Amino acid sequence: MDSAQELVLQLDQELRRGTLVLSVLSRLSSPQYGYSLVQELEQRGVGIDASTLYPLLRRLEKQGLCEASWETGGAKPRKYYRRTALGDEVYGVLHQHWKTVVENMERLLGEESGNEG
Amino acid sequence: MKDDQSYIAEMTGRYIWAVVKHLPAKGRSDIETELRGLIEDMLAERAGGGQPSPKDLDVVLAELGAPYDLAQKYIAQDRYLIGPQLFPKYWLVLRIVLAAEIAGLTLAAILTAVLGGTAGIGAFAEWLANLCVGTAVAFGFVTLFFALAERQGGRLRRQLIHQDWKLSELPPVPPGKSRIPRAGPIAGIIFTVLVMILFGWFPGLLGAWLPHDGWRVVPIFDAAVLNARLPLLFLSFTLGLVQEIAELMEGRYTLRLMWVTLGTDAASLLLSAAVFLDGRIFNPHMTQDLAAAGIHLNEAGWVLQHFGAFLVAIILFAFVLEMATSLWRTLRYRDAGQ
Repeated sequence: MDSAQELVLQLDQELRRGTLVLSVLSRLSSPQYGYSLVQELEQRGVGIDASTLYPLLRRLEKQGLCEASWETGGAKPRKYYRRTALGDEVYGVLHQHWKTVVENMERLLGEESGNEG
Repeated sequence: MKDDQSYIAEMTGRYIWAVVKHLPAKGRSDIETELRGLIEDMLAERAGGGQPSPKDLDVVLAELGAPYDLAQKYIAQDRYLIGPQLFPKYWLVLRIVLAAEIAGLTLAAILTAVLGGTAGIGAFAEWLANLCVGTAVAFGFVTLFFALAERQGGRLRRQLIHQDWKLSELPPVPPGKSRIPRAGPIAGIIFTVLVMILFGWFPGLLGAWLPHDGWRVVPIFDAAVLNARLPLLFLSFTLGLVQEIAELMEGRYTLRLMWVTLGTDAASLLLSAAVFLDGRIFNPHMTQDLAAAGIHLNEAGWVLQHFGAFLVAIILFAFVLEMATSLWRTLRYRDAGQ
C-alpha cells in the first residue's frame, strides 16, 4: 500500500512537472510578479511551490520566453515578468499541442475504462 | 517585539545567503532581492496583515525548503562531473588506459628484473609503488579529460557521444554457442598475471608445503636455473596473454582467433618444453629435502626424477585440448554469424 502511494506521488509529480511551463506562460500575457503568480495559480487549482516557480521564471527569462523588469516604486521592489513575442508564439503552439494531447488522452483513457466496464 | 523583528531579519538573511552562495556571482543580487521580496510576501500572507512572528518565518522558510535544493533549482542543470551520456565512453577508455598502464609497468618491471636489475621483494615493492602512482595519474588524466568534455560540451563532446550507425552495417548477432563469455578470458588473464608474478618474484613459494615445525616449503625449482630461464617462461606467458586478450576482443569463435590460438599455443608449448624438459631447472636436493622434512618417497621416487617430463606432458595435454577445442568450435560455428 505504502509503495503504491509513494509511486502515485512520484508519478503524479512527473505528470504535473510537464504542465508547469504551460501553466505559467498562460498567466504571463500581463505582467505578474512571482508571488502573485503563485497565488493566482493556487486559486485556479494549480498548486506550485514558490521554490519551484521562482527558478522556473528565471529560466523562462533566460530562454527569452518572458522578460522581466523591476518595479521599485512600491513598498518593496518587485520583479515583474511578462511574455515576449517569442513567448507568445511558443505559448500559442504549445497550447494547440496541449489540446491535442488532452483529446488523445481522453480517448485513450476512455477506451481503457470502456474495456474495464 | 523588536527581538522578533531582528530574529526575522537575521534568519531571512541567513537563509538567503545559504541559497545564493551556491549560485554564480552573476545574477546573485537579483535573486537575493527577489527572494527577500518573496519571503516578505509569504510572511505578510501568513500574518494576515498583522506583524509576522518568528514562528511564521520558520514555517515560511520550511516551506521554501533546504537552501541547497533551492539553489540547485536555480542552477537548473544537473551538476555532473561526468554525465550519464558520457559515462559509458569514460568507463571504456578508463579501463583500456588502466589495463595498458598496468601491463606496461609490469612489463617494464619484468624486463628490469630479467636484464639483471633489482629483483625479489625490493623490485616487487617498487613495481607496486609505480603501479599506485601510475594508476592515480592515469585515472586523474582520463577523468579530467572527460570532465572537461562534459563541462565545455561542444564538438569534442558531440564526437564522444554521437554514434553514427547504418542499419546495413550492424553486424549479425553471433549465435549463442559461438559467443565466448567474457568471464573466461578475463579469468585467464588474471590467472596468467598471478602465475607470472609467482614465477618472477616469489619462486620460493612454488614447492611442497609441509607442516613441519610450522610450514616448511621444499622448493620444486632450482632458483638460479629458473631465473636464467625466466625470459623464455615469460615469453610463453605473454603469448598466453595475447591469446586471452584476442579472445576477449573477438568475443566469438572466428577463423582469425583460431589461428591466433593455434600459433600462440604451439609457441608456448615449445617454450615450456625448452624450460622444463631439461631437468636441471628442478631442485636437485628435492629427495633429501623431503626426507629432512620427514617424507620418504621410496617407490614414488622415480616420479621426481622424471618430473620435467610429467610437467611437460601435463602442459602438452592442456594445450592440445585447448587447440582441439578451438579448432572444433571454430569449424563448427564460424559460418554462422560471419
